[in-house]
Amino acid sequence: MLDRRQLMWASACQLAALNFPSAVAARSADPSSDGRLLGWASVMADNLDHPALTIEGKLPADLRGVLRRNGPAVHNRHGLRYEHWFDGDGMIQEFRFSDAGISHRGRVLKTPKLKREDAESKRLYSAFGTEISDALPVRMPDDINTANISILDHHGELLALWEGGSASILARDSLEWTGFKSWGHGLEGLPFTAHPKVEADGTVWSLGYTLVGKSILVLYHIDSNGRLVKAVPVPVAPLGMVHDFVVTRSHLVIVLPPFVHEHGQPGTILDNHVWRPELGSRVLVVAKDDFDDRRWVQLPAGFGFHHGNGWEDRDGVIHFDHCVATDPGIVTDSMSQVMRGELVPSPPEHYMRFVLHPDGRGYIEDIAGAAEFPRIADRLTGLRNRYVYMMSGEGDPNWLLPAVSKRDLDRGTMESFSFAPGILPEEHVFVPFPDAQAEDDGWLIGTVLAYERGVSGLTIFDARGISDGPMAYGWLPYPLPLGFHGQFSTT
Amino acid sequence: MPILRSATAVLVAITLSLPAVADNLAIEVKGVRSDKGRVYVAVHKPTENVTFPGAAGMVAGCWRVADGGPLRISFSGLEPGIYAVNAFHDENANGELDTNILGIPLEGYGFANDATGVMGPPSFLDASVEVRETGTTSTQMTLLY
Repeated sequence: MLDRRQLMWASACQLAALNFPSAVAARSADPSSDGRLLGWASVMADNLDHPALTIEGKLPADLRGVLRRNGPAVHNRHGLRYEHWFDGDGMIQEFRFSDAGISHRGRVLKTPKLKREDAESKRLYSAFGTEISDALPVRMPDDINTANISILDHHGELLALWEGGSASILARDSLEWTGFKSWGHGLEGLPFTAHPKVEADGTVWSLGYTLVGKSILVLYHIDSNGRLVKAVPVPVAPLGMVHDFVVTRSHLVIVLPPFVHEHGQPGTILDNHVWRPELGSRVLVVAKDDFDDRRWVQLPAGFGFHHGNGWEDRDGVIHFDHCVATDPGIVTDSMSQVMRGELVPSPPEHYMRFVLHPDGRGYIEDIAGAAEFPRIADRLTGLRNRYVYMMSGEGDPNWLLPAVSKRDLDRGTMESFSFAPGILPEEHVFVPFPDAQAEDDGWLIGTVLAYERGVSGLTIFDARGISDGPMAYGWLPYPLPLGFHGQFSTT
Repeated sequence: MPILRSATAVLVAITLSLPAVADNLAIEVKGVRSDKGRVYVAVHKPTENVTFPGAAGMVAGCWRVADGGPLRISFSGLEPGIYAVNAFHDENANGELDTNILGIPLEGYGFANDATGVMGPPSFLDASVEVRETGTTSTQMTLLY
């Protein structure tokens, strides 16, 4: 590992310099008084169907396909409300674009965990951030796999993604949970990230992590036909949750924030995570063609979930983007307090550019301010991109970002559309036009919660002009819980 | 979670070498989910520098053909003392407990007292029974898959 003192961080102090109004009072302690909390209400039914969303504006004539999103949805069940946003059982929200308009179906995923609990009419297991007094022991990660973070449609297989355990295989016709995905004998039950990287040719790079019992990162290389090329376990200590990573032409780049799991403390998995800023953030750079070729880079401490893209220039300099905050308050405080009806701020995540030279030099730059849920044109995964799309703006509290934005990374400009009060936008994904030429020839499609009206909807932007606002909205007659990540598929 | 993986080859030899004396430990293994393969049972003594259920701590063991129902297995000639017991269902009959590359079992397994660990085996004590000078100690376990 490189000595931290060898590094020359041109703006290493920026992470620590992010302003945070630490004394902002908790808001909205009474759930009935704040409509935004509808976003964390338990979903109204395990199955939701609506044949035709009400369209406002004009749908693009050539937009065909399916947006599938995932997120925790069953927050309340069997008399218990989970105490962290991450804990609810997953639900797929599927929006199909056809000649008839947009239809919706939502399906709670009946994982083995949820089936066992439903069979006994009680919650059986403590979750990531919820401790249950008489919980069953977790023998293996999939015992508590809620399949609730994201979705991957790859080589004809539809997978619901968690990160602490296996990916789950879904039936494409019914969206039913059918089994845990095994990438090969001896790989059953291995953790698989919610953010695998799929390159333009279909090659998949992925990782997983296990914290309890053993502290191990698992790295995956899967070919375009969905066949495993290699999976390598890498012991790493200390280790904590690793939500996302980037790939470049030649490397996997994995940022390990100093929010590490320390064994043997009482409480939940989250309780066992400790913020150790003195460790700094460690970056593991792994050669794609040889997972044993690994180097470490030491960075200033920061905590983040999501990355933009990563790429590598001809000199081997790695450039990647990461939404980073000064500490993990978003996960330790905000996302648990919201389940108790309190919307409280936390250190904001800013969209930062990281540049790592092969000799260990590097710098970090805040290039887009407060931002989350970055997405790019997926075909540029691992290659230099000009545009990134993300949630941004000044939220209330700060992590409830009110705008959808497009950042031009070459010119350093950004355009945004802020939704009207009463509407909370979620992640928007880039969907290329069928005849796309330019990088931003496409639509930006995502969900919104119009909490004052008590309904959820879809918005469709022309990605070439985000500030013009959505070209169309599609409205459901019911609300959906706020979720996490989605993928657009043509089938 | 290495339960018996490397130890199974010596199980039969150990069983055959036990003196022909009265049974003093009886184990009922329940929850065997199929009639495929074999069910292995092992008895361990606390052993210095051996983490339960490491094979080096095993003092007795045997297997039975799985028939889909509960199995009753007895051991005899054990010295009085504390023993931990574990079992697994080698459904594919390859002579070992299959695990993934992190060591998580992929076949059914269980421990005396139905002890369970968190992301690993239970402690020796949780999975232990006492064999006395006289009489037969009985225990049971239910295999979990």
